Amino acid sequence: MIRESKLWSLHLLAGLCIVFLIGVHFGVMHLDEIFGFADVLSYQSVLSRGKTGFYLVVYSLLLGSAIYHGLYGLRNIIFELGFGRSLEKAVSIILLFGGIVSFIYGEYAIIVAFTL
Amino acid sequence: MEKTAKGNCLGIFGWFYAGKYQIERYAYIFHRLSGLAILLYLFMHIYVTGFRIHGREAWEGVMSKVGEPIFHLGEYMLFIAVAFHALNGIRLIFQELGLFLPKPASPVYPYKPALARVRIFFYLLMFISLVLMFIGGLDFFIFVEG
Repeated sequence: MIRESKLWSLHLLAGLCIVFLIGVHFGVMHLDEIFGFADVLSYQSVLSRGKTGFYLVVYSLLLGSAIYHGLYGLRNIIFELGFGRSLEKAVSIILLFGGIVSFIYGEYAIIVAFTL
Repeated sequence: MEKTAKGNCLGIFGWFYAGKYQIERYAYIFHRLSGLAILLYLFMHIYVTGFRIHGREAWEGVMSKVGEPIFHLGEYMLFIAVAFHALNGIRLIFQELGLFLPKPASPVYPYKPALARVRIFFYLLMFISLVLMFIGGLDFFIFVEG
């Protein structure tokens, strides 16, 4: 069983990670004209970005951090509503399972796009 | 004891009213609401962007659907939520780590709450988030590609 303080510290760390990575993501997607990127949403652009090692790392880190930060935050919100211990345990298991499934799906898409 | 703790728990209604709230309490409410909205979007985003591995037709099909004006407006609303959540989150992390907190002062009447003494930092971060929202609005609605 991981201590709650460690999970909380990881939540903060993931939050900081997201601020940095989402800055990169927004910069590429929305400041495309300033940086001179081609149509960022075209299939060709999406494909060529996904094939670089840089985006493989950025997308994977962003995916993991965002899922963890979001679901741990949701867990805290649900716990604040004051349910019993057994229900809290069930919520933790459901969120953990949902997080793992979402991460596997997202990571699968990232890896397949990298190898296309 | 258990009964008292339950009695003090206002649940979700406590988010919106539980007495004399200061501005940080409203930030707390919006932090939760924006977080829930971003989380909902995150799962949609993971699903939608997964279409790129099914080929050009699948990708262009889904992009034509999410390219509608209502989605564009929703995307900007999401940007507002992200800008607020990120900047307020940075404030919360700083406070959690004890950074930018004022030095302890003597409790001289009229007392000034500790929160009021760090409020300037809160206003500064909220100002930055408003600037980001404004720049984002320009990008989303003014400098839109033809």
